[in-house]
Amino acid sequence: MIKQLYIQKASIIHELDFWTKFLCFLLLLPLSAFIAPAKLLPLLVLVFIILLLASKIGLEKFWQNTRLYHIPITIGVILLSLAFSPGILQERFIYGLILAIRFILLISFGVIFSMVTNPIEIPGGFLRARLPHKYGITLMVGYRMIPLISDKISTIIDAQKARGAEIKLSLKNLPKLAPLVASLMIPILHSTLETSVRLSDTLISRGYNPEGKITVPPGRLKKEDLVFLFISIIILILALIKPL
Amino acid sequence: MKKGWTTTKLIAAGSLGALRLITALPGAAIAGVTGIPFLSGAINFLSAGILYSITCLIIPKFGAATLMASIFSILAIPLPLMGPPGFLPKVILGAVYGLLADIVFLFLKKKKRLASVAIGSISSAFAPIVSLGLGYYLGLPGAIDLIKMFFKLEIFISGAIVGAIAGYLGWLIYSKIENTTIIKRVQS
Repeated sequence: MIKQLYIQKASIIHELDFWTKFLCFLLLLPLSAFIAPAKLLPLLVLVFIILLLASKIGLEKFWQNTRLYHIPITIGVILLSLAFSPGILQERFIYGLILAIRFILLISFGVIFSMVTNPIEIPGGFLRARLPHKYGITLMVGYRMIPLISDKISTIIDAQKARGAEIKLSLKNLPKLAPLVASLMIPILHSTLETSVRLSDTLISRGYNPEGKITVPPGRLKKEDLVFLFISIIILILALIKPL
Repeated sequence: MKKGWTTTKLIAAGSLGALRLITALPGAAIAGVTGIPFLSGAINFLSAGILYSITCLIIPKFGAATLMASIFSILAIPLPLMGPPGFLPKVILGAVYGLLADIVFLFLKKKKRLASVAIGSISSAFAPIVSLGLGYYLGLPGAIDLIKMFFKLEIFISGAIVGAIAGYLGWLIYSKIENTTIIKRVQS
């Protein structure tokens, strides 16, 4: 379920290092889109289209996944600008439109990151970043726990249904919501903690110490990563230069 | 009870972060279909209130809720939770919500029931303000006007009441499992 946006393809963008993707798609390029003068926005749109084509995802697939963000955000930001921005109507509309493009670029870079990054790369990436490994391991365990907890939740819901529990969310059942939540949450919570204790016992028995040293998975930036980072930094510098 | 972060406490915090994600996914699905930003947060207020207070009660250490919420928000990066997929500020938002819960628990540590209700109510009452503060930071037109609108006492109080119910529910759930071996093991 957590992989719902990830699209596996053999492309140069997919094969970039996690940190290159993280820095470029979630930090450098969105930041550039937000601070760049309006004249630079077409360049950023062009960069985005090139990235999308290079990732082999396809415009149609991308639009299917993002239209539900782009359409309401464009309408919402323009309406907010028309209502609250200073100036005459035309100025307010143009300001709203430019801001909408900035938001769309921000979201688009984020979505493309999610589409080209396998979620399992994220904890590995955090471990390599020399952050205290206890947090990296915790994050990794979080990922590992998702399918385990999902399975347990389905089992618990089935068990409660077998005992006659009516698990339906409707306005009629609203007064019963709190006892229903409690009747599900208690076994779910207990089961989650039971699994986590078992997992921590496994880690402890293998000698894991949150304050000790561990071997970090190897990872070096390739030539493509450096080129990609360099281009993103250039774009950010261009965005920072204010027009005379 | 050991003072530092033990492996068991860390793994428990990570697991609660994963549980928070799973309980938030139905809201994410609705937000994904409708495309309304931050809608998932509005739908998931109940699970959020319960899990923030439960985390503080199960792992009574400063930073437990921050760690749980940070893990949840990092796991939520590729999902339409707390904003669109890939929206990096969601990690900061998550950490802020968790920190808020930790600060409340720090001051009310000895009165667990009150702490639980306060965590639920404060996080629910402040959630729209924090989100709009982010909107202001990103230059959203009218963010200040919307913040002023949300600062209206009635909206603030109704958010706090709804959150308090979630927090109280969290305390009720905790009181049922408080004396189990699993909880004692995590807390040891």
